[in-house]
Amino acid sequence: MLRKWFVSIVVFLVMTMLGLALVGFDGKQLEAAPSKVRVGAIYSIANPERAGGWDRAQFAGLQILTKEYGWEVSIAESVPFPKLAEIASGYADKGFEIVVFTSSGHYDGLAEAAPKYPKTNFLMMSVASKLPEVPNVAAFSPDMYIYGALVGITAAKASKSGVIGVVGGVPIPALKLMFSGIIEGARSVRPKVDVIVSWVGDWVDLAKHREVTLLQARKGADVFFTVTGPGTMGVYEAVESAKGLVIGYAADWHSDAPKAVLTSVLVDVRKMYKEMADAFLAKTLHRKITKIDASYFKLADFRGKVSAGVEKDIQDTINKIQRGEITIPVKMHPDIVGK
Amino acid sequence: MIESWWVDLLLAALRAATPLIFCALGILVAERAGVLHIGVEGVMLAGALAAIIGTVLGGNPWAGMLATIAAGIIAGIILAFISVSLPTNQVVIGIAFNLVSLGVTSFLFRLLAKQLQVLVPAIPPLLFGLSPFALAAIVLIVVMWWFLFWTGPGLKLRSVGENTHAAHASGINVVYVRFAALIIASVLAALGGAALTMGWVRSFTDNVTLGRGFIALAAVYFGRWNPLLALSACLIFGAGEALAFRGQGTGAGLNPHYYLMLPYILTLLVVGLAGMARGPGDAGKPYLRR
Amino acid sequence: MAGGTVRAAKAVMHNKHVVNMEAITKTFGIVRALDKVTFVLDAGEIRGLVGENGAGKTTLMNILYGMYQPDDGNIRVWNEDVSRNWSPRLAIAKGIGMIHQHFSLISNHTVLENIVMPTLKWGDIVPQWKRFASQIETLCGEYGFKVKLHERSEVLSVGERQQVEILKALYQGARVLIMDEPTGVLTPQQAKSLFELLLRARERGHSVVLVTHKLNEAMAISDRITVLRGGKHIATVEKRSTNPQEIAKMMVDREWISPVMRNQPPARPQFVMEVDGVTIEEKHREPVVENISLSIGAGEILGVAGVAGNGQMELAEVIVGLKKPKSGRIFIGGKNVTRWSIRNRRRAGLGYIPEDRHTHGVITEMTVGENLVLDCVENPPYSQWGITRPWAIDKWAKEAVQSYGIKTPGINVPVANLSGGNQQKVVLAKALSMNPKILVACQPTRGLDFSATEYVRKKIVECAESGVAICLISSDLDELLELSHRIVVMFQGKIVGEFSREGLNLDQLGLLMAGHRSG
Ligand SMILES: Nc1ncnc2c1ncn2[C@@H]1O[C@H](COP(=O)(O)OP(=O)(O)OP(=O)(O)O)[C@@H](O)[C@H]1O
Ligand SMILES: [Mg+2]
Repeated sequence: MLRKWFVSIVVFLVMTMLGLALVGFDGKQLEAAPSKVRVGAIYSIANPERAGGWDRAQFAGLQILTKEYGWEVSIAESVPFPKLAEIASGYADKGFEIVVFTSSGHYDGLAEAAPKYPKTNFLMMSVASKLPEVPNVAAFSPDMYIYGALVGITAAKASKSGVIGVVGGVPIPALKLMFSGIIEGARSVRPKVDVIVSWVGDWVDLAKHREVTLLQARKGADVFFTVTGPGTMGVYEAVESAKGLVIGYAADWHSDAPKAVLTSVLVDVRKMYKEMADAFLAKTLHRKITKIDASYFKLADFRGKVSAGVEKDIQDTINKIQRGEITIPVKMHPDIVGK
Repeated sequence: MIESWWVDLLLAALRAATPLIFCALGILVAERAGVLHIGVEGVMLAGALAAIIGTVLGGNPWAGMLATIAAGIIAGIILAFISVSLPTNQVVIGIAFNLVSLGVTSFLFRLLAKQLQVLVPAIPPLLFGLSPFALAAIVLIVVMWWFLFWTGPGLKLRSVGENTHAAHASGINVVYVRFAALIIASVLAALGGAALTMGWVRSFTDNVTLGRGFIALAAVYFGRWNPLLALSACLIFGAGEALAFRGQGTGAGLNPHYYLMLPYILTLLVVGLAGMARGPGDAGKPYLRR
Repeated sequence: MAGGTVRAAKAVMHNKHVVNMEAITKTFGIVRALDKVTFVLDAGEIRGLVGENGAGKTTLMNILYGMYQPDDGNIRVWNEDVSRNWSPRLAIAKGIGMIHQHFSLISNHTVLENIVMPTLKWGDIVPQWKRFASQIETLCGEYGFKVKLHERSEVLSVGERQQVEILKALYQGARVLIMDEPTGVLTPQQAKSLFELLLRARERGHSVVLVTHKLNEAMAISDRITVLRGGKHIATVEKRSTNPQEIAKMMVDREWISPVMRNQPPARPQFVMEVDGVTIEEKHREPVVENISLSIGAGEILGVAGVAGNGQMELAEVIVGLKKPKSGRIFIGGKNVTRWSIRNRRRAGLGYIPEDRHTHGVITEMTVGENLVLDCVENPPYSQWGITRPWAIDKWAKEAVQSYGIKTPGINVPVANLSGGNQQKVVLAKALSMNPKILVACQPTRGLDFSATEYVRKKIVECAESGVAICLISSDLDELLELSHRIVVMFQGKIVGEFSREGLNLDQLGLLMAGHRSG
């Protein structure tokens, strides 16, 4: 009896530790050049380099800091929300000058840590509508509505059937805003367009993402767009199986599904991160929400997925928006979530 | 649009059920031999990754199948060694195995992320729009039912699960049988993982199985350790998932959360309705020869 | 079966040693169950194996059958050294069959499956069930057995289960039959026919090992008797040159005084338990108990006689609440308890010694101490405000182990590790410790050695003297005659006769048990 329990407990402990050690594979260092500016970036997902659009784009932005500024960047992955402040404080304690939060959901962590470390800059590199009342914080907040409008315009013009499939992970406010933008953007160039919005219920389940998307294809959708977590590949799989086209979110997704990706609406992270870095160096990184507007968004290469004419048409329309010649009035569509 | 809504629903349900069916088959073999197969989730995950690695690195689906089976055998040997040969508490070891498998697969996936972030080639449907995996799953369920209840080895296997003492007294080597059963069970569970990644979503992410192994466990318990009933439980769950998404599109204007809860509510209902099912008599009891 | 080959073998093997176990030693943890025991069995002999509870009889036979691996010693079967890798599979192949003290039938499987399973091979994809069934039926005819082949073995009575076990061994072609306390559950008639069967088997050259506590049985049919005591081989004697007194002395190292303890019936019994017109039906079948009415007074012992399987077990289960009657009422102390839960009946003072100790008596994985307090752990002094008090439990458990003479290395040993008789003592201690007002005792001394039997019977009489109403269900007629004030006879679910102690007529009792109506 004793032996049995002893062995059970030992085996359990060892395996659990091994398991946790491997799951929590965090604190990965990018190639660090010796330099005095150190940046700590916090993700709640694993492996941001290969993850969904926004995280992947930011990863590229962070690399610009190392490559072009010679800064040292440390990345914490898979940080659960309750641990955010702790990890951020850890960076501040070690003398990191900048702590980057990568998701709008991280606001509470930022608000908790920032007041305790006035010498460190705490940055929200995602949608933010407010900031804590301390000077050492700033946000670079993308305009999700106009981003959505650009996606909507691209999709509406590229679609043959006039039906667009939009798949969201979980209905959070930022996505409701963006998807409303898609509907309005699409209608602005093609009034009769049909935009189907579906929610998967989580960010991760590949199979569910696939089935939701496939259902939209059955309803006639031929151009798709998705914002979700690791489940993205499920959407892309369904699009490829249904011979549709998908617009990538934030980063260029071409290499992930070459046959299915129409283009991607990129976020100019280089511009965004350079602004941040320059402001830091010039000591002008003040408490401010910088709006990441249409001028930061641009289309990736279409690689011949639509005719040159259509491509030019899309590009022209987007340029007009960026120049302010066309405006898409903000109109919310609460019905995409239901009651 | 040519196929009717019903056919479409049925196919979707079967797609969702296929990985569950394979896992349920594995659980059936193990638990009929008296070993609780809590580690099924971890084995499934390992199989899911192995299938993708095999297909990508080996260049074709057969390599993927081979890798899956190899992963199943290795996982089975590990589980069998710890829970049958040592033996230790089967529940504890199952839970620990799931954790380790999650860690190891995430780690390997990270190492090979650059190669694996692709869609593997689709496996074309074989018959009536059914994938080879779905067909195999249904055939295997019937074979399993026949094997367990109509053949000599099936009877001997069930004897080990019902009463180790009696099985031993009848000249059966309980340790060997349990060992072999766990290996077969693990290969089946690994195939369940392959059915998910290789046969369905064509890619892998961390923890891609997301508790499907446990749902298969629930299906087996609901099915009172009978393959045919377990099959229907898997199908009910698959249908729940398929209906959940179809509900969203009906324009009833309900919050999608209500529809998305459907499969889980169905599982609860089904398990609740199954009531106090009694499993094989000696399932879960470590066996020690004197 | 393999009759021809056996007869041929008999000629060759005659007077050869079938089994030759030398210096067998086996320890379980700190318990030395067998200490250099030598056991030699000849072809065509019936060997009695006797010893007190915990003497090591079952362990020795389990080693012979390959269930346990000896720590030390040699085993030769048919003159072939099999000490290495000996297992039940090989034992079966060598023609050794064992009927365990606690049967090893798989309750969820049918009788047919149970009998055939050991002979099936891993490659038997399509078993010939029809052929097997007819073979078994032939065998049944040969030995005069009646079994329902397609019944799940769970629903069989203990007597029927034993028949299945014997059939199983015979079907395997066993030429050495090991029977671990086979008669404990049988009526005298059944025991007699079992012995006839064993004698017939001997005629065919089979060897039999009969483990028993009943010295008269051992004396009746065995050729030689081996006595074990405390794991040691004491002697193997020819039956002709010994007598029960001598053997008993070897077993316990003291003289055997046959017990006579006729207690006095209460003068004017006040009825504390009444069963009124109870009928029990199994699913879709004829009633197993039909319109039975009984009443038992305080201090009275009512004996229920009958061949196992005539509804006694069901009657007991209805009284304690394990089964629901189809009709009829049960009163305890004047209250109608027909719809009460088992727990409430227990609270009302109903104690139960079940027939099958493994299903209802003890939880074999739990320790002796835990089992002893299982029914009363929620009451003071074993717990207070819902929290158990381990020291109180330990203290009481130690007392019980002492006073009931339970042979165990300690109270923290799982009950599964105890010898069969000692498990029974745990069941008894558990039931009596509740100070019941009514006690339903089914086969309370089954599997006990005679000193323990004596002790249990004394306990039962003491209980009755202190005013407990006792319903004693037993297939051991001696026991019934010795203890009961009144005896009712059950046959096919009905009460077919009632005797007071004075008006007892043994012949008539036997006839009634066998189903012959008087007058
Ligand atoms: N599986 C076991 N684990 C630990 N101890 C055991 C085990 N089986 C038997 N023993 C111990 O070995 C000793 C001999 O037990 P055994 O069952 O052989 O006695 P027995 O002669 O058959 O007695 P009984 O007449 O009560 O059946 C006992 O002290 C018992 O407690
Ligand atoms: Mg015994």
